[in-house]
Amino acid sequence: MKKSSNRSLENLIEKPPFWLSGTGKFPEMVLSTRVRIARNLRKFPFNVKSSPAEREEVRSIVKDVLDNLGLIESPVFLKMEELSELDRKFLIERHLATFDLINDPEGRGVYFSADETVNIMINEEDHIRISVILPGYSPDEAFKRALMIEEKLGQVLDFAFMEPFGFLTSCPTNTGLGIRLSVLMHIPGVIINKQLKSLAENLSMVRATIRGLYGEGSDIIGNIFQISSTLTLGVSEEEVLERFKEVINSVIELEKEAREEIFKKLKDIIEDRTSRALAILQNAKLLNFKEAAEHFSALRLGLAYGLILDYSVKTLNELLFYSQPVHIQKLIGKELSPTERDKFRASYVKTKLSSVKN
Amino acid sequence: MALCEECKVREATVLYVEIVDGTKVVKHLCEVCAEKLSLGLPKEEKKKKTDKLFNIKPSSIKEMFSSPVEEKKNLQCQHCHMTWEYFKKTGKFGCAYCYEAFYENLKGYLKRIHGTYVYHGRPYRRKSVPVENIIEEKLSLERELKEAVESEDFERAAKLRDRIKELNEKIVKQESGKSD
Ligand SMILES: [Zn+2]
Ligand SMILES: [Zn+2]
Repeated sequence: MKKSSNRSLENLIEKPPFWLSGTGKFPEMVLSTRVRIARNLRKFPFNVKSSPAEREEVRSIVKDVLDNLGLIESPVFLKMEELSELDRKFLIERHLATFDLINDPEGRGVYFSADETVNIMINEEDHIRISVILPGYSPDEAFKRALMIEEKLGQVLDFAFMEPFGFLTSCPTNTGLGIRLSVLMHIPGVIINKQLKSLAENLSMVRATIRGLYGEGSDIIGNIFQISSTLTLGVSEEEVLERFKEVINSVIELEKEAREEIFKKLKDIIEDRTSRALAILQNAKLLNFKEAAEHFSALRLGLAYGLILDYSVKTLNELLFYSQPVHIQKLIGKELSPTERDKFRASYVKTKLSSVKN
Repeated sequence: MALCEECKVREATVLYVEIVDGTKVVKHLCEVCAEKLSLGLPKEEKKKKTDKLFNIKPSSIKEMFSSPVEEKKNLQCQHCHMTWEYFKKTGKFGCAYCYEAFYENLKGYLKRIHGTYVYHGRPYRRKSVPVENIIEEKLSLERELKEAVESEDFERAAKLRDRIKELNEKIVKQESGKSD
């Protein structure tokens, strides 16, 4: 059977997720906040040992319960094996899937709200992974919403839980609370000040980690990083939240200080970089994703310094996410070679910059 | 014998796994480096190596690190047949019952990663019979029903149909009661 493009995916490409809306606290610096909770059903083997049939059973149980609880507004449910390869990769760029969810897709799926604020991956590494993603720096709200969904599901489903370890997860790094908080942060100040290594070391001392936009080992893309808590044992839910806020507040302060320092020392260079970035984005005929992301970062920083007035954080968020390789192909509606992508990306960016002011 | 990836001196005896949103990092480390990595470096070394960028207490973990206890050999989960040795190699449990099978070794193992093995979150208690038990029972009855029909045992098939109908009603009742 030919896997045709899913219609609910066509709707997705037309409307950006709510978490790109550039609202919330510090939206230029903190693009989004996510709270993710991992849970498993006691009776079923975890996914390193599960057969496609067992995964299908878990998937239908979880979907059934989600449908009946009605916690998620206008839900969309996708079975991974029914999607084309391109659509699965599109979901990864969209933060609605991970490599573990699409690799060996049989029996796996994702259930999410139409605005993409809530998603529940079924049979990723764990049977259930609840995520709430909100725009800007919104840890309290994201935390509250994710825990509420977890609680409702836990009343009906039999979650794997055992004293003294807590919630039992496939990977021992999640055992315990199974909760992970993270933010996507734009930290050009830290990068220009050459403090990234030092920041990473400081974070590891307080049980947090920093990764590139596409995870460990990936290049620095657009000065955007994911910073997450790794605390899950020995602390309560509230302590994890407070601890995370303490850490992220410190990173925000660090970035602010770096930016002030840079502006004092390098004002001319910063102004030049901002204008050049805009000129290139408005005129390039070929743009690869990494280069585009670097220029978007310069624009974001220019926006923070008040050097750019014509574009909003929302526009810059959308430019970045819709410039990703699969998004460009979905926008055009067909698979493209890398060079064709660079061409369409350049024309997409140019059009968007000239049509949208603010 | 593989050497520790961190110090490249001692033998690597610990598999240090970190997963952040689908990205897996596996490091083969010695006990000493694993301890350092999971707990942060000791204070004196910290100052030398890294500028202090912000002022947060290094750890709020409630339990202190203790010296490693000897591991039990030949542990195996009776449910999924995962062995302790294989678990250490992959860093993934096979099922929830692995935690019981590996209980004694796990305390030390989790301590090395998290600094403690004790959960401090809110208690978890389900309010009622898990709905998946009912759904599961239903699925197995449906399989029996199919066999009964194939072997033309119509009396048994009729009984099975009645029980499946009962379970369906139970599922509907359970779930509608939960959405308050
Ligand atoms: Zn070592
Ligand atoms: Zn097992």
